[in-house]
Amino acid sequence: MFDKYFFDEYTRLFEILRIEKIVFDHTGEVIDTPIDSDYLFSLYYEAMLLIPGQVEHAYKEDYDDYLCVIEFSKMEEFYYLCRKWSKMHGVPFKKNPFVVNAEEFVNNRLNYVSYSIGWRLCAPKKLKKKMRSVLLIELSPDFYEYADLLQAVYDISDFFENSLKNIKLQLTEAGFHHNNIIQERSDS
Amino acid sequence: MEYSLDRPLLIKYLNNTDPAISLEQQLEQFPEGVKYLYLSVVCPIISGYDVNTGSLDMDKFDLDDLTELERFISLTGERNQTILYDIYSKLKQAVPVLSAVDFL
Repeated sequence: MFDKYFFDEYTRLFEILRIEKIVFDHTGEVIDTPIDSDYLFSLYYEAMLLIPGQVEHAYKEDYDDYLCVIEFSKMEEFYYLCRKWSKMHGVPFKKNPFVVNAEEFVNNRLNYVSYSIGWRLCAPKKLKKKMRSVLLIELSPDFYEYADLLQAVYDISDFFENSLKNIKLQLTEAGFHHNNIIQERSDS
Repeated sequence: MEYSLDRPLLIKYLNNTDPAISLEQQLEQFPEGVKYLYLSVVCPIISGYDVNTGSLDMDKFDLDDLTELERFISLTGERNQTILYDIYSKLKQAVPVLSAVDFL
């Protein structure tokens, strides 16, 4: 009953179902795609665009790699408050426990996904117009664990959201009232 | 070595590869989500129908059910293929027998 075609394809078919389920669990939406391996990459692409924040994709022709740039919705504010926390406590930005925790979490979570990806968490220690806090992920041509990556990215997004709450709480207890981040950024 | 075709045994083997009864019985041991996915996704796809994710009820299964379904398919698929391969091997070993046949 299960022919060769089906055995070769079924892993990818389940990958489609996994991606849809992860998206549904986090957003309540269904992208609605044919359960066909030809649609796997386009589904992954659409699913990544639904992550809270700004997501950009780029194709590197020289290496046949895909580059994904993610700026989680809470990331900018989180690192802004990390800078404030470092200033208040006299701790270097790179040694700030919130910054270190974030880096460790991202590394651990993405390490678990696949050997076929590379990543870099960019968190500038000074607020500059041209530098953003982003997560860069590079996918090599033999990468197929799209659902695992999507789940990891959602976990990282949740991590930044929770960490933002924690740092806000600590700063509020220390008497810091955080101003409008957009205003301060445009002034810098 | 002489081979003879035991037709009742062959029919018995072939009947064992029919998933109609055995698969349903095996499915009973799995969670509801696995059954739902098997009947709503796997069966139509094997039968050649197109299935869209939009037609599925996402509340009826979770991510663990997908892992279980994968395990279920690999188990049943391997079992069926093993039986078919045994039949194929036995038939292949049999020496061709010369006999008169009607030509065109």
